Amino acid sequence: MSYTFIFIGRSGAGKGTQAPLLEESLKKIDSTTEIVRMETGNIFRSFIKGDKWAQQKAKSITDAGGLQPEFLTINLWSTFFIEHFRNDPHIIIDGTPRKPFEATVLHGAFEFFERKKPIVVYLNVTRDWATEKLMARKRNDDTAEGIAKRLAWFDTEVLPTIEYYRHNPAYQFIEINGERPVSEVHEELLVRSGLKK
Amino acid sequence: MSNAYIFIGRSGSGKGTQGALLDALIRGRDGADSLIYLETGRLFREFIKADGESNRMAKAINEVGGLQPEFLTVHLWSNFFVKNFRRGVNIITDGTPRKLLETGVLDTAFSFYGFKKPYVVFLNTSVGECKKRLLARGRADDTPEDINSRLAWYETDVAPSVDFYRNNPNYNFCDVNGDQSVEDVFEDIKKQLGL
Repeated sequence: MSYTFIFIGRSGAGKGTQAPLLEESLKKIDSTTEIVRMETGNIFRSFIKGDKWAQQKAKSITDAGGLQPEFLTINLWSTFFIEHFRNDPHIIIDGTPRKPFEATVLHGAFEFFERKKPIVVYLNVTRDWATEKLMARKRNDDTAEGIAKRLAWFDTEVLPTIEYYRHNPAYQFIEINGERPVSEVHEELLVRSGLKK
Repeated sequence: MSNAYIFIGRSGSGKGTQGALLDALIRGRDGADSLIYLETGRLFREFIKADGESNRMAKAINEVGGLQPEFLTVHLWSNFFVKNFRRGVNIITDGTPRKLLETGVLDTAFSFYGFKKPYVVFLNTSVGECKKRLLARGRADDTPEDINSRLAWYETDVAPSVDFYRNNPNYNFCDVNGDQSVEDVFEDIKKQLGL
């Protein structure tokens, strides 16, 4: 059986650190099945480099720390899915979905690709903890204001999506306290997802 | 100022015919490049012809008369948007949106592109009239059985989207009697669009 993992959590919660670690562990456990890892943020950063009208507009939204429209996020991940979902790979998703109605569209995609019981990994960290992390690692496109904005829209837009998954029988929901050393978080994920017996 | 025109209605209600007439009118007035025309059905037929796992899976759904997942329809029209939208163009959509979830996603696209109050042209054509036209058109997928199932899922799946638009202050909703002749329907549309 192929695994589907969805990492969800605030910016700075460690999704981008834990996703590659999970990929490595999966590879050790099952070296024959292909692993596809999708990082929505990366796809977006390369999208906004283009010169189409939509790309320029999306760039100005990013620059202002705003939230991208769903039709664009769905456009990007649906394109990725169609290109990469062959031969029933293990799938690791980081950065999708955000709003609940995007989660509903994503659910239709999982049914279409016959993905059984995706595992939602919620890396739970407080807003203060995330702020500190993000200020410390500050990329050049991060401003204090942009960071505050992103963390604020997580509360209004993404938290309802986490509740959508929490008691949903079609998913396995794992909530992990992310304010701990990287290796501990990773270990807990392996145990609770059943990858490590 | 550019406008968005959403044609919505039952299969056989006249969306394609009336959409083409409006297309010709706007291009005739503002130039050939002033408008893009989204026909999701055509994009879909191209998609299922192509080689690929997703394409084959979508084709299989199509063959048993199933409804495609929203992510796939959104994929097709959002690609069309990204590729074709330029500053200042008008758009006609024919066959999009269908389900309410898709209507919500399309709403984010129209705000993104800065359309103020898109026009929704609801071709209100009776079931009997639609059936009559579809049978007369006689396309391969227009068997009585297929026609009935398409008209049935209009009620369950598309009608909620029409209701979403009907009293929505962010849209101009035009309820057009589609049982009239082609010419009369178009006159009615022009009047309601203020053209």
